[in-house]
Amino acid sequence: MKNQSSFKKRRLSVMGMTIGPMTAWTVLFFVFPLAYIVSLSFCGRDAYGGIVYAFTLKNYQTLAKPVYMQVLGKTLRMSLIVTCFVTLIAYPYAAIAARAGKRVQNALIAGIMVPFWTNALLRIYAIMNITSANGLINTFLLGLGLVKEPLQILYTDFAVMFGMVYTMTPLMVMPLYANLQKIDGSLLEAGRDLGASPAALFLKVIFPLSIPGIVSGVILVYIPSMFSFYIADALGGGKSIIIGNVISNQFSTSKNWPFGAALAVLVMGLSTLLILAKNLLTKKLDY
Amino acid sequence: MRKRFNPGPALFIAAALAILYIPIAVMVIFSFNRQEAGVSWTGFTLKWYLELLAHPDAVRAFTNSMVVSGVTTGVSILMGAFAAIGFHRYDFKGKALLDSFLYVPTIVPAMLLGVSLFSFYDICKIPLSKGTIIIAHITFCVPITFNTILSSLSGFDASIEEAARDLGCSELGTIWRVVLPNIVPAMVSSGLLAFTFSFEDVMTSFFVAGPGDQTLSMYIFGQIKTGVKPTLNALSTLVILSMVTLGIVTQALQKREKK
Repeated sequence: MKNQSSFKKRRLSVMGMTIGPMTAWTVLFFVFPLAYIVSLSFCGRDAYGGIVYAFTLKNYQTLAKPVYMQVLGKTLRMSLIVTCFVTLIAYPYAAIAARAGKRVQNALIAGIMVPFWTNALLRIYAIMNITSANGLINTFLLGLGLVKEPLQILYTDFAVMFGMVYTMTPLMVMPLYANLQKIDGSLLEAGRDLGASPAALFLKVIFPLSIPGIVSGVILVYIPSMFSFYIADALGGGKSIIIGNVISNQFSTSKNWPFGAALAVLVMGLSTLLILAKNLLTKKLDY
Repeated sequence: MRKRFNPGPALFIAAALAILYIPIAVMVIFSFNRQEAGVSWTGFTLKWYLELLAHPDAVRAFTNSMVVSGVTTGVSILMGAFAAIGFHRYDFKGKALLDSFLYVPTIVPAMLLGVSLFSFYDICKIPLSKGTIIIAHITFCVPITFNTILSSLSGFDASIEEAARDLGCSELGTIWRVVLPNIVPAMVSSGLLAFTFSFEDVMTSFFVAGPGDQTLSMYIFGQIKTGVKPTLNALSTLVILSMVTLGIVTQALQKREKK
């Protein structure tokens, strides 16, 4: 140890070389752009779509207009419905998987994850395929004589929500499965020995313990579904608009970036609130 | 213990998996159907696949995707590996905070990353190109490689490193000759994961791609909006096949690593 300080310096420089690039990258291409878009939301816009760098709250005032509030309300509602359905499908699936034998467990998880590896777009396209006027569902219904002419399934709100449920269910199954699997089997046995019915066992033991899993699943589904403009575009055919579409339009066709930025900040704020609420809730449940 | 067979759970699982797989199966099957529209089977053909190869846009989108995802994967692996090594070896103030900070780009909705980078490029006067897509993809892929490699390093025996140092290996030499070779499997599997994320992204690329630089996912997105087409069935089948293969390889690698 003849040269402690040079050793320290050397250590520091290696540390900078290893951690430095990723940190610098994240600051440059993530923090700066995000900060810029927040400040952009307080900027004005000239007649030609150019940005006027002067502080204004105009974008946030426009945002409060009924047209936009309606889209926002509809988005929040649709995302809520989607999240409910995803939970109703994912919960029993995860619960069954968590209590099955090891081999069945692996098969069930692989069964839900394999489609998840394929592009969400392709799964959306697959839905288009079967819901179109001459697709599988309509051919089937016509063949059975249940309907006289093809049902309009594609390009409706229903199709959009169906597509979201279809693509996002695996996102909910995973945290729920991880959570339900951890529940101690002896706890259930104790409950059973003390004479609890299966329903009581579920309501008093399993369900309360699985709330953290549900909450993380809800976050994983609710937030992306507000933004998934491509699902609304493809399955809604431009007729079903969610807030993600409005933001995307401001940056492409409408060329009103400051307003788009304000919308993005609003939805980002809502998402952050949701995540904070989740953290608060899980902390409370953790005692 | 009474044990009656309850068919409920099995039926539920069967129904859920059926709904999940039938649309995909229909798409795959009809990519081989001779008839252009409708659901009647009129005979096996490969003509939609051949027609696909004759689409210059589709082929170019595929090459673009390979370039974008390939470069993204390479850079993400290197940058992620270096950061993971630094995190593993050194303790410093605010490490936990930095850790959660570096993770944020993967949680933020892809679309927000897209629009914010898009505006950022504009103010920096950076013209949109393949490069701008790559930058965006690296931003959300590095946290993936970083975290995977870091978790594999947590099982790494520190005494090997000490031995190397005692034998006169320099700080960098130890990293290069001892640590790196040990995390190669984690680098490969995290790279496959990053490749998948990059290859499938639409929501970010949509905003940051130059006019001639659309990736395969963007091409598919554009095509989907015009409706159902047998060539699109064929393309989807090819993509699904390769992505599922990639997924299985990744899983297998991760399993081997754990052993």
